[in-house]
Amino acid sequence: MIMPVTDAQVATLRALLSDDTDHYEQLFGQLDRAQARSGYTALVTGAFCEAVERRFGRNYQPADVIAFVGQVRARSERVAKGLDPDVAERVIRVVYGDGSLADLSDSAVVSAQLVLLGGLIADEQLDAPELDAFLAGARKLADQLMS
Amino acid sequence: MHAYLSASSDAEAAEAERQFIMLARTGDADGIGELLYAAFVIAARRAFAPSWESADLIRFVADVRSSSGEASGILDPKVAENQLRAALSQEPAPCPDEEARARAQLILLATLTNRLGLTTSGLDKLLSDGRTTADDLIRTGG
Repeated sequence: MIMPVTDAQVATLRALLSDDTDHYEQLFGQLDRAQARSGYTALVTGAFCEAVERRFGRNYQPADVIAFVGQVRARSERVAKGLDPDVAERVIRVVYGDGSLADLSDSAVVSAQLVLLGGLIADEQLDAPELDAFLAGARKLADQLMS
Repeated sequence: MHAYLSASSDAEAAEAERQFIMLARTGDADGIGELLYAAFVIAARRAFAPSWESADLIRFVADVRSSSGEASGILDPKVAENQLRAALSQEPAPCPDEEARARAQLILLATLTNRLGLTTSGLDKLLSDGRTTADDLIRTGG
């Protein structure tokens, strides 16, 4: 049975996107693992798709994607090492139906999505109500993805 | 190599690159790999030394790839960053296949010479310096 995204999953992603690492780790540790495998992953994917479309618009330019991934990787040594530029560009392009991620593991895709999502949301400089509205849209999309 | 570095369009650069890689593959131009490497290292150090950070290299490679449709498809960003890092730090780069490495050095060298604003004589001087270094590399087996 497919469970919709839970409030706890939304709160967890919210903490992460608010840069509240301690709270995020606490909430993430409390998530029901079985539910998180589908619900939280779908929420991350939904939020990522929303954020990508906000950033790059309907008609994305590959050059913009390359430049953005470079900007994100240049923000810290840790991100530079952990975020493979090829994987990062591909997870963005696939939102537009360009290419495939079939050869990548789910964890590689979600990891790249999370790092890029952090960069996209940081650039948006959303205030609390805007972040809540963004997450509400992402939750809706995630529920649609799972249905 | 001069033809590639002086190319004024993607098409011209692609043709020069094709000829360059063919020469390197067939062995009809002994020492061309060393010359490319030496010119690339000299240009990279002129552009980035004395102080640089990984972020500078990441941004530079992303800029190269995003400014040319041709480069975005054929320039592997990790290979390019590693080649630049090796050129600047004198530490060995993880060794990709020879063609990917030569392609990265050639594309990056073209962009570096462009960024350095080298005139024809400046380009000649760079290649001349590269040739001297390449001769040393060949002589010492480095």
